[in-house]
Amino acid sequence: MKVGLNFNQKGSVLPAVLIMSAIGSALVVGSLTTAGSHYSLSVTRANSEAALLIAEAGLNDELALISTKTTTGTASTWVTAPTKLSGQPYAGRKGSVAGTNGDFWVYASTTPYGTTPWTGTGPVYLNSTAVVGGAIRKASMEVKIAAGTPTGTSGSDFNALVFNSATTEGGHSEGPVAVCGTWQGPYEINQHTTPGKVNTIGNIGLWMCGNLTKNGNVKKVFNGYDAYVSGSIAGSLQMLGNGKLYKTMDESWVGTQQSLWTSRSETLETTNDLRINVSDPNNINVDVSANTLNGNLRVFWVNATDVKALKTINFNNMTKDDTVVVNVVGPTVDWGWTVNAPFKNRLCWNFVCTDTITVKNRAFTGMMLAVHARVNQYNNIQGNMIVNNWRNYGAPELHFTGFKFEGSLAGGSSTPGSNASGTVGFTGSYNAS
Amino acid sequence: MNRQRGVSLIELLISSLIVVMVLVVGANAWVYGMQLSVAQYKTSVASQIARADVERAKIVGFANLPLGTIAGNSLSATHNGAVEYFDKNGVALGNSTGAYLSLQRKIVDAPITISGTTYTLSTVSKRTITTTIKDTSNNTVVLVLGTVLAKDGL
Repeated sequence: MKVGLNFNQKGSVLPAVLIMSAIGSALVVGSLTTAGSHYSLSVTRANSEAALLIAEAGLNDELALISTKTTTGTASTWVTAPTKLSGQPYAGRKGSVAGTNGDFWVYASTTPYGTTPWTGTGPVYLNSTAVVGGAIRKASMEVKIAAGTPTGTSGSDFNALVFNSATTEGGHSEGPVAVCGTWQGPYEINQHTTPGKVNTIGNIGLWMCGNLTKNGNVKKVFNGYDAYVSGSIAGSLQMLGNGKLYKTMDESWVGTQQSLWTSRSETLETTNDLRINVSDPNNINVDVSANTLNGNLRVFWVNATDVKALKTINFNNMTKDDTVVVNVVGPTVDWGWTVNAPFKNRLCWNFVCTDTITVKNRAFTGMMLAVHARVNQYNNIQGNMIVNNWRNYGAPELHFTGFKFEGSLAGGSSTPGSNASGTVGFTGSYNAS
Repeated sequence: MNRQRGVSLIELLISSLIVVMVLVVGANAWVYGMQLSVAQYKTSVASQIARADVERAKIVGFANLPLGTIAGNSLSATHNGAVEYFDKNGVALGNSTGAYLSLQRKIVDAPITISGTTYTLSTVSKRTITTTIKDTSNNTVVLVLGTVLAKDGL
């Protein structure tokens, strides 16, 4: 059989393949586009769910924050104002939920999602906007806020409030000392100023829940102030001026203070703040009055590495109603700054995430709020020291006269006590979008 | 004539090459498309399971969720819930056999008031809840949802 070939049909295979390939490609692209769209849609939905939860987290976060403030100051300062900070997409305080993606911005106003700041009376709504991926969700709820009365003591009466152990080689404190752990080494306590107070107990020079260790060491409590020691006493504890030694005490008080001050430290760290310009090689000048983010609570921040260089920092235009807080960010601090301020007793250095602070090259001035840190003290500390562990070398001093912290970390006239008895709660009016 | 036959052979070779390329690309695209589809399904189911878990935690509430273990001197405590398992339809399983996804809820409490080995929560405490969904086939995280509870809050 002879097969007839039609050579006029040459080239038909290629066009046919091209056409089929184009059709196949179109189908594949279409399928991929559909699958991709569905995937994107599912991710967007998941992000949207996550964003709503984070927006609600913002509302609850603000509630907890308000609870830390309701015993002092004016009510309007308890809440976050509807201010949009430079560089932020939304008004309010920025925060997040640890372990998840996304952020929230939360503030208070007089109406749901409104922009009028709460004046301290009338309805108050907390408003939160959250962003996760590209998804944006909002939530608002009405809350009821009632002022409370501080009924506990704040711990700021103590020159040193040490949550755990202390080791000293010598030196003295002008004010009272509280330690909860073991305290090894000689020391002279409360040489100058007024006594400490724990709840209703006054006239305290030493508040020690734990043991005074090491035979041969001498500790002295001056001026007739009393010592409370729950544990054993090795060596000598001399009560000068007829102060009394008590062995029964509230051992939980320091723990309560640790919780309170940790909460305050974390709150201050998340408060809106301005970075201090440290570029000058010698003198750093801070215009306190220019920081208007939180009323009279003037919050700044620097890196831990910034404070190492030997410099002088001047806090200018600070009034008696101002409280200056500087958040120092970083795990290790080697202190090198001399501090000038018209009201050094209203100055707080907040080391929220610092593990170790060394005070050697320059004296430290202002309240040292370092709830997780061990302090290695070679030089004087002028102000309250609230730390986790304390180690001194040589005989450096703790100065209190003129340095005892009198500022307000809640924006009011003074820092409240430990038992915040104000109430903050959800009233039932909630909406989300 | 011979030259025309040669052209047909070249045409055939080119066509074969195109067919092979289209098949290879198409096969890969099909695999990718299937992966996308599976990922989409997994994300959807995981999202629903996680959201349901967080809502359950909210219903139990700030005061009644289990307390955790105190973390050193950090004034925080962490509770890691039991791992739960789910099949492809998001139905809870009794154990890991045949599981498609796993879920674990973590609760971090801070700040807390420590009393010995226990602790209490206060009006300033926050309870951070995170629910993590993992793919049981390779133990990779599919998604994490989280929120914060406060006393007398939402």
